[in-house]
Amino acid sequence: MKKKLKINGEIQEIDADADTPLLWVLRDHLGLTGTKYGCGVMACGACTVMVDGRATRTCAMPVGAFNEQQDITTIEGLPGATHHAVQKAWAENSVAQCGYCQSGMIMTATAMLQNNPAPSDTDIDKHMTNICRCGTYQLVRVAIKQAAKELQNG
Amino acid sequence: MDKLQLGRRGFLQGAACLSFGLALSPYRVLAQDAPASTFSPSALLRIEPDNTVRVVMPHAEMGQGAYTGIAQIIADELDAEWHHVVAEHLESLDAAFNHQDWGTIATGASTSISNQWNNLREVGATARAMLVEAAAKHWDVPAATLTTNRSMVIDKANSRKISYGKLTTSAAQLTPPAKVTLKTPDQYSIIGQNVQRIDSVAKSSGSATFGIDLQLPNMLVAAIAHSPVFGGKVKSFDTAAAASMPGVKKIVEIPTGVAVIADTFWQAKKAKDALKIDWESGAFASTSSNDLWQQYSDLADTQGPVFERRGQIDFAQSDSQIEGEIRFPFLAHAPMEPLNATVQLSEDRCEIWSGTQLQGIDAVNLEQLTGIAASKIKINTQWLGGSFGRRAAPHADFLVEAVQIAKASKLPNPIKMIWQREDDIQGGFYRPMVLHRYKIGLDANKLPAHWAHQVVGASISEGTPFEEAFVVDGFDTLSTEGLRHTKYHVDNLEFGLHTTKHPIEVLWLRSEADSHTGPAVEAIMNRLARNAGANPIDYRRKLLAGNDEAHRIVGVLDALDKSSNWKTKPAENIYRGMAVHPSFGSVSGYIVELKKTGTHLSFHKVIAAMDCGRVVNPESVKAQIYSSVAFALSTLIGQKVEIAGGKAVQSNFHDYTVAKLSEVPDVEVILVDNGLTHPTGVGEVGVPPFIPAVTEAVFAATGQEVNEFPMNLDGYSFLNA
Ligand code: FES
Ligand code: FES
Repeated sequence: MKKKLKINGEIQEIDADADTPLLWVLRDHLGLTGTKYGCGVMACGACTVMVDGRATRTCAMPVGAFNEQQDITTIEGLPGATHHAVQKAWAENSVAQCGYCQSGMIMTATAMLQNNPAPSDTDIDKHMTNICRCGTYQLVRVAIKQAAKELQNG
Repeated sequence: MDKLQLGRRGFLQGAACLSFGLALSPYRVLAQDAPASTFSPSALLRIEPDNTVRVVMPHAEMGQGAYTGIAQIIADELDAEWHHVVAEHLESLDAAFNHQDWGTIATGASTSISNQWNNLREVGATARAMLVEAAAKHWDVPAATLTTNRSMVIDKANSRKISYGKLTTSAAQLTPPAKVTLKTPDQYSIIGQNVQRIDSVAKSSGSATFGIDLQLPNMLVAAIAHSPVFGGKVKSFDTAAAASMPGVKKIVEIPTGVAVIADTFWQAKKAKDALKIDWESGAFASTSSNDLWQQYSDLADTQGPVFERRGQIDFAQSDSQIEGEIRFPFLAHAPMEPLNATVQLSEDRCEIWSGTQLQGIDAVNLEQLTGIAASKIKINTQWLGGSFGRRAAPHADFLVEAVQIAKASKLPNPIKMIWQREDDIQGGFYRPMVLHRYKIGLDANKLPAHWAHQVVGASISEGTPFEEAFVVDGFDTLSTEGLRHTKYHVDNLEFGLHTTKHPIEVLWLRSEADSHTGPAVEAIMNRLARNAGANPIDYRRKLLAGNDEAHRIVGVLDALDKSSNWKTKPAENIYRGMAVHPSFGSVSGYIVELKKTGTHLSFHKVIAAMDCGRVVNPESVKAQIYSSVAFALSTLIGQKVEIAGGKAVQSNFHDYTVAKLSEVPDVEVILVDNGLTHPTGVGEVGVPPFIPAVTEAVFAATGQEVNEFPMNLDGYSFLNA
């Protein structure tokens, strides 16, 4: 099946079976390997991208269900101040250990902060349901708060 | 710790052959040699004309922070500009990259920093001395008049300086000094600092590529159907439906199953699911976890071969007795990045791209498998998306599978084998299921005087290249470490080990034997202290008093004691537990406070204390404590692999759960200085004592003794469950 998708602001033409999860289209067809495979059953969040600004797990979402009107944003294409602040906070706090879950963490955090620039602890608990096997959560919290502060101040 | 000194025979011989082979092989120039204009006084270090300081990493980075710590140690002795230091993955099998205690290239047992401590400092100091010498020649002044700072040699008397990058060619001509003077601790400028992780930017931008992300021209992807029953074999298979599916290039049988090779992962996976395979499952197909526990329990009724004895046990001499049993389930490592390996195989060359911890041993395994000389085997280490021991595979099982697929396919293409999460959770190589049974006789002061203990579980090292190193006097220390040589003073004790066998492969998981012996011993201590009505810190102090070898444990207890108000009663609805455990040359301990709201329990406060000797990067040590807490908590609330019909019951993160952000408490970490001048283990040390600290707080709150994992509380909920 040939299909057009809007990924990171550009229209991309792909050729994949309609049931191929968006995750594997990104990774194997478009070479965007920043989005990770962790479970394939929507249980970990490693495959999170933004679809029209919402954090979306892609490992069990068939590409056939997407259309070219939707804005799909991956870690490679994250634009804007929110993401800049998030990435900076992540790097400065050395949040990542193995790093494998962190694309998904950063996408989820960025989507949350775009909608809610001053999340409470409860908001963070509620939104950040991604699994980190390395257990970086304490520093994820620190980095989200730092990014939120930076966004509010500037 | 000397428990990891590997023996002379076995794979060490293989590894020795390896480095010899490499030295003779012209292939070596392909592996990581430096261009002529760089100064490379050691295979681990390259200083380039643009001032880049490149450290080729002798250990794998799987999240534990090894790359950063290694770079800090070299950079400090080199007096390098930290911002010019970069890490490079290992691609060579040269003996220069060997683990300093094990004689082969390997990462494990929380030793990456400690084993290289002297070596790295000497590498850095040697390079620095040669750069100074080169500058002295250049200016024609005595070397002793020069100093160094931030990748510059400085001639203060003549107000001039020159960068390391400008000296690379001349320094490369010099003979390394026979002896160098290492810095004293007061001179450290990078060691002990909270520098940002060297991989932090790459891992915050999605640009760090893991093994699973590798893309090569003409690469194909393989998925495998493994036997659902442990130890099962393929009887026959029908490829009719699968072979004609889009993208499918080849379907091959390998010893562990059937693999489909296709253009993309999804095509390979779909075709794999369409295979019709008749499995020869064997006798294990009727086994369940209950059967295994029954067998373990029956064994514990009998005296196992004794691996440790002090005095003479006689319960008739004791005032009272306490008995109990604690069961630890199979645990899958579940590294976040599913196992994978890419292989390019030809008649006489084998090239691998994978995140692995045991390159030196992998090469020996692959040499045996392919008949290709180890000198023609190249292993390109990648970022490891977690491991927790799974990527330290004594028989290189996942690399072997990938090579078997490539071999059977006869395709010239590079083939990337990817395991699904289900292959990982259901594929064995688990932390063994282990039963601890104990009986303790108390004296009139309610202190333990007689301690009988049976450990029942499968051996990790038997039948592997590690057997000789880990089996001591006939006992696998990977089953007993942490209980063996307990520092607690008990006059009479007798510890037995029943070694079981089953077709499920077992493997070290983060903290190895200490993952169960630590929680078992500390749960016992908590119970005894409670029984004596004693403060659990003071009770432990009594049992450690006068033992020189226990002074670091006591130091950690003192730190915990100081940090909390053990002497005062906790506030209403707050319940406490504590534990301490030495492992991997270090000691950690916790105080856990739980809050009870009705029948719901949640964390109120967690304090950790850690003595890991000389601290190379304090924040990095703290991060490993946070990590250990989350790891241990997952085993308390969501992880076990059960067996039914000879198969694993759990399959993925929905039923083998990892603690989430909303469940994992913030931890206050105290780094304890007990005077050690060198670093000891970090990555695995924090896991064992967290478990009994929590279960004791749970007992305080609920009156329920936790004797199996994950916890199953009657009438109470904990965290999100
Ligand atoms: S890979 Fe999609 S949620 Fe785990
Ligand atoms: S950093 Fe390793 S899984 Fe999150």
